[in-house]
Amino acid sequence: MLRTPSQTRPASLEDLLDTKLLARLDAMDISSRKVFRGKLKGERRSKKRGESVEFADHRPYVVGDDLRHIDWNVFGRLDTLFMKLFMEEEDLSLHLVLDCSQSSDTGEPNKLLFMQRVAMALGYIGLVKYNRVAASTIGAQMGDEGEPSLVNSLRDLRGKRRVHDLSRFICDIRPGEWGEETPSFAEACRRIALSRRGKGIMVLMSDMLIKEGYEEGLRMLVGRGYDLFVIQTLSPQELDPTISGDLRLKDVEDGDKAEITMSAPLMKRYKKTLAAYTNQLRDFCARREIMLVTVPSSTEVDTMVLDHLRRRGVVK
Amino acid sequence: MTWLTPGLGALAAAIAVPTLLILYFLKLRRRDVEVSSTLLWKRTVQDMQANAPFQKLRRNLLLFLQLLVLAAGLFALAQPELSAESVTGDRHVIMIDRSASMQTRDGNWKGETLTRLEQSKREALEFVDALAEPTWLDGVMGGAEAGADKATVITFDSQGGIRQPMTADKGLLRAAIESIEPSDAPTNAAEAYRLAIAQAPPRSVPDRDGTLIQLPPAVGTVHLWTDGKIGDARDVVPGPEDVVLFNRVGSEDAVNIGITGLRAERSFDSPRELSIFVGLSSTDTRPRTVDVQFIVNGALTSVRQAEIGPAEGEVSEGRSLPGTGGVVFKLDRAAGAVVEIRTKAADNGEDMLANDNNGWIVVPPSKRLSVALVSANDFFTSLALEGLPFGELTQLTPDQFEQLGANASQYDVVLLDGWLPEEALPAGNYLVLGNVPDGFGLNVTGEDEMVEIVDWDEEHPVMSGLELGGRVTITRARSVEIEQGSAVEVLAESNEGPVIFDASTGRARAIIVAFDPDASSWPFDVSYVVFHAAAINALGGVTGSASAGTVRPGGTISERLPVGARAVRLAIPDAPDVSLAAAPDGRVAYGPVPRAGVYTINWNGAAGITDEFEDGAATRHVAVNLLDPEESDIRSSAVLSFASGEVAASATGSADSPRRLWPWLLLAALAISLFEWWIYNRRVYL
Repeated sequence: MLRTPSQTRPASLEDLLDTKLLARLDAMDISSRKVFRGKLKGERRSKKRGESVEFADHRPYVVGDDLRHIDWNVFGRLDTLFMKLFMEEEDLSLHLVLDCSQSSDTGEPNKLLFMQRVAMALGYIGLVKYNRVAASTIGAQMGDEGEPSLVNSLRDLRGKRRVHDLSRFICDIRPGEWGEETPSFAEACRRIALSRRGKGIMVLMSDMLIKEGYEEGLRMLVGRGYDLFVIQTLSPQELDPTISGDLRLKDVEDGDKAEITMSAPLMKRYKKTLAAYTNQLRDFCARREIMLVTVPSSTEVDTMVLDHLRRRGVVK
Repeated sequence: MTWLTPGLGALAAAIAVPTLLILYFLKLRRRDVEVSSTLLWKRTVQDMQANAPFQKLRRNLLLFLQLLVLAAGLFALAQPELSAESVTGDRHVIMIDRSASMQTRDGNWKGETLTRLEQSKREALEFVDALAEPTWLDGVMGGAEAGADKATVITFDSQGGIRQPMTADKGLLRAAIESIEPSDAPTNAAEAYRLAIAQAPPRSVPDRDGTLIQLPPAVGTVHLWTDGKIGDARDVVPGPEDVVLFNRVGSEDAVNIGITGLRAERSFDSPRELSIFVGLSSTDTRPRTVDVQFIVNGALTSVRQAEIGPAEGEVSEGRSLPGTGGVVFKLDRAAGAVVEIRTKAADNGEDMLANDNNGWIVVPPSKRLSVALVSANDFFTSLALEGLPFGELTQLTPDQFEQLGANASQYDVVLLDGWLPEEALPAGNYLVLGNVPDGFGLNVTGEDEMVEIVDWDEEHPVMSGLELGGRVTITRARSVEIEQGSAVEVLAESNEGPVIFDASTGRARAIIVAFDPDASSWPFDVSYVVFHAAAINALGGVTGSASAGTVRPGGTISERLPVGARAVRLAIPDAPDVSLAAAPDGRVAYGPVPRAGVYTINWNGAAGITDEFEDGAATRHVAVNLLDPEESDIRSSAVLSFASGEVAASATGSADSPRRLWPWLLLAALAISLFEWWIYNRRVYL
């Protein structure tokens, strides 16, 4: 809840994920409830009958088919041109989206750090399994000197060699100093959705505490048929506030103020409101086939990936 | 600079300033805390606000004011009425004793020694300051002073007097109390209490039939400042609802030596010899010695030492009888004199009350009256007069009297027995027996038979001491009618009408016995002789024995000057002279006399037989003396015995008045609701 005092930023992959976890992640793969067609042949069974080594079926030749895939043995036997259809193995596009607004840089443990680690873990899995991995940030600035921009993206990474590119990108993320003018979540989502090539899995990591409303943005992301996972990360302080007394609460993003006098009824009320908010979000997501996971930022990354995400089918 | 209501101002400040400070401190100093998002908090607080019943009304000042106006209008529509009693403040009666004993210097006010009266005044002023002020609430509930305490200031010595009628104005009350002067008079509280009752509003309650029943007036709370020496306490009748708070001043072992008796007498055989008797009393428990100074016409003539015994014996409630003593001075003096007696403690003992240490007595000259008896032939009257000690008694026939003409005034008194001159009576003093002379405002209308004297004026010097009831039967009496407006005093009345008169024409004064004594049983009664002696002495201006103390402070000087006295002036000790108007019959009156001392009346005209001429004007001295053993006994008493019971002195002697708290409680309630309103707004404010 509170801004994390003197947050240390991760500098390398090792800061994000330890080697033991990396070893376990090597054995995992990204999964999707939907099977999408990839751009390149990958290590994934595709819906498309294609050109892999695994035979699937035959179909009659039509003009324009690739002559290389005519089953000459069947032609010899039946004197009819049949095309040989194979199970195509495709790559999967994994798009990691991190909400890097000021509000994410709060909590103990820090929410942004948690999201960076989860993103790194998922990205590592995707790269090792030869999936196409992209990463986008919303409202972040890259590096300590960078200008905040609504969306920063790193595209089309493939293969284990690019792990360090990804880790560098993730380590460079700093919450953007936007001042009074806050980045629009919906606008960022629209840009990400438009710039996206192909189809695949998108994992959105955010606290989802969005004043303008998360609905429009989520609709943008899911509207193009992506398989969308939302990892709502809340700090333990947001889930169970420990503040007390007469307070003037200041929003770290827009500087908005709320004067409250902390009391037991107010606390009860807050938790009720939080639960209602989360339930509303869950309902919204369920209606649009969006998978929502709400986790506190105190969750261990391995528990998060190996347990929560695996159970929800994000990884296998 | 005068502060009329400093109490209220101080009180308001004492409440408002700390309240302001408290509100200032209570104004919440909120701690700034940065949070990831205020989204949920705002929703939470909004939820709470939405659930609050007055959410819609919050901070809507216009609605609040409109509600107030509406409430006021509805209240006005309901025409609220409050009975007078429920909103009026308390009624207080401040009664302060200013009698002689209140000048005793044993009062104590915050360590300062002063007289009992001064102490009483200071305490009363403090009490007035503590009275409830009118509040703004009273203005709403009827009358600007309706809720304020009201008080009246009444003083009493021998008489009661209202210094300030019932008011809530503290300035007036203070001024009235501060203006109280001491007097030398003895103490009578009954009249003062009746004055207090007279100021109480009448009360009545309806009975079953709806007729009003008068209730005794509620005087309120009587705050009585006195030393408890009230002579007529038994005549004070507080009502059943009256609260009498006795604020006692003075101590019960105050020591005083005073003159309580003074009398001068001439020897019957040798009128030049004058004896002055001085009676003294002491409240000291030790025997005391005093120097008694004897001053004749301002010159110290002799000093005698007198021994006074200790106060001893038990009278009541541990009070002892004052010790007494006396001294007699002898003087060989034929002329009249003003004698002053002064006492001074000779043994360094205490004497706390100064104004009973002086006494005055006016000794008349040893002159004797010359009396003429004009009578046809009256046996009884000449017999009665022969035994009386007149200077000169001349028997005249009617012819001899008529030849005297205007020279009749050479006799001090002329007794006309059964005969009247045909013309009007010449100037002089007459005792008329058996006739009603013309010109005195008396008309004979007929005759009554067999009447009895049933009533007589015992206050009159002629008739005092006479016993006529059932003793005097008159066979033939004239029925006499008194003219309207004539200055005739009826001295005796029969069952049919007045029979003896004291009348005056302006030149002549006469005591008239309208019936013929020979035709009555009166001459056989001893009162007949006494009447003659008294009437002749009164007409001649001889007051009998030369005793002092007939006039006391607080009383009235009433003298009969010779007929025709003009330009009458009264010299008052320690005060400017006043001029008095003499009535046609020569009466002058002045009163009440505040202080003891010698009062001197001067006039132009004839002098009475005992009067003197000074600087060409006739002069008469009147001595006014306290001479009151009760007042000289300055030991203050702790209990007042009223007709309705005993009242003990308040424990502290302070005058705490019960304060009504409800207006303040109401104000507190209002303040709290405003405070709550404020808190509510602060709590949900974002």
